[in-house]
Amino acid sequence: MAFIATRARAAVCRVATRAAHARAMATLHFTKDHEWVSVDGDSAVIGITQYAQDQMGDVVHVSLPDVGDELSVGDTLASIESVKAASDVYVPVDCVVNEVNGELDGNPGLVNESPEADGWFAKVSVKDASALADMMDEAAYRAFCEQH
Amino acid sequence: MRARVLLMPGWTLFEQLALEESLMRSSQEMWLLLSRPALPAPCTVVMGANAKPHEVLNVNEVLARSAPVIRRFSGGGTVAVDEGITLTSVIGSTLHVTDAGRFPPEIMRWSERLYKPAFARIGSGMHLLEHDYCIGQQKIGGNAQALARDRWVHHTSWIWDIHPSSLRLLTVPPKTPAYREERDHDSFVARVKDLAPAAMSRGRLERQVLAAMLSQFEPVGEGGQPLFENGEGPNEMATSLWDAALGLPGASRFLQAALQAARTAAEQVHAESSARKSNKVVSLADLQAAGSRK
Repeated sequence: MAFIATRARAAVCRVATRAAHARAMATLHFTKDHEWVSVDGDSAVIGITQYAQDQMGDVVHVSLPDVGDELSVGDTLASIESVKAASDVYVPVDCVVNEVNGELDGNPGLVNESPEADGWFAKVSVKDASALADMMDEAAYRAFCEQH
Repeated sequence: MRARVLLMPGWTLFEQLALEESLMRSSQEMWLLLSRPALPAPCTVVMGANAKPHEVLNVNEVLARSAPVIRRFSGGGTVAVDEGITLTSVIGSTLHVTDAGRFPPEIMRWSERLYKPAFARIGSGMHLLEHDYCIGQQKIGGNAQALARDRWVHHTSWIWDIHPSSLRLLTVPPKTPAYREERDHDSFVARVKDLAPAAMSRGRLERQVLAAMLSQFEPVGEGGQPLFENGEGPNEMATSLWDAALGLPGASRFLQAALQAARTAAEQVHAESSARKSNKVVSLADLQAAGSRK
């Protein structure tokens, strides 16, 4: 997502508790645009972070890609509508969409309630993992949020 | 910060929204826009990106009056645009408009600071109440945003005047701000002309709004060439640009040419843009389907 936080330096970047059992074998990566990518082998789950949802306000609609869509880094993964704003979220890795979170259709507020667990956007097959090298781990992301 | 100026470009509402989206997605420049859009019908309804017609429209009234309905690319609520509405837009960049922040709530608060001076002598002055521009407890303008990468659009419809029949095209939406307190449209919305001093014309208010925008952005032409080079203040620049846009006697031909060049440049960006084009005219079939859901 094309946002860089501008909160005061004292702001805390809270990273929500994850569904640990679901990600026991996965590695978490974070982008400067406040997306998280949970990678397990050739598969990944993508969403936006606690920090991002906190900054955006109440989410009222999420538009997701179609299953089967082939996306490249920088393509639009989703569009989030919060109060008064429609914001694009961009895919951080080359991938093919295997599944989208249908729960968000009737309950977009799930992105606010559980952005890093139940509010996931898409499950994908990673086609090129090289972009992961430019992403941050959780500690680096936390520090990034506190600095911006 | 430098910006191109689009002043009274003469586009229809749909054209303007389409151009705004293209300028956001495909231009690297910043743009300021103030317009009274050309309307194909007495009133056009503009819904937010994901609004449901049956929830926000008085569909039977819309159908009976053949009112055009547009689904725009930005979020936010539904507005009725008739001849009494003035539109302003800022197409900015998080890289350049650094004091607007990078998230919608911050951009909205920045916009309040931007426009507030234009309304200083009207009623108690304009302020942001929850997400709406208000004077007192009454809404005087609707606003919405779209964000893509480091670019954003913040646009506003200011209610100088609005016909009561235009408001009847809208229902009270399912979610309303708390300050609305279940008021109907007629009580919730205020016409700025009713609150402004008797001596204030619509044109004068529009020039004040333009001056407020120019207090934060330096107007430039092609290649970033400043349009003013003699230390003119925002009010003087706004008046000169206004006169040029309307072709008034004594207007600067240089500024007239610059405004035309900006319009042409914007249209060229749109024509050459391969980016997503999200604005849609809602079809009669979709409206009729919405009507049957009520």
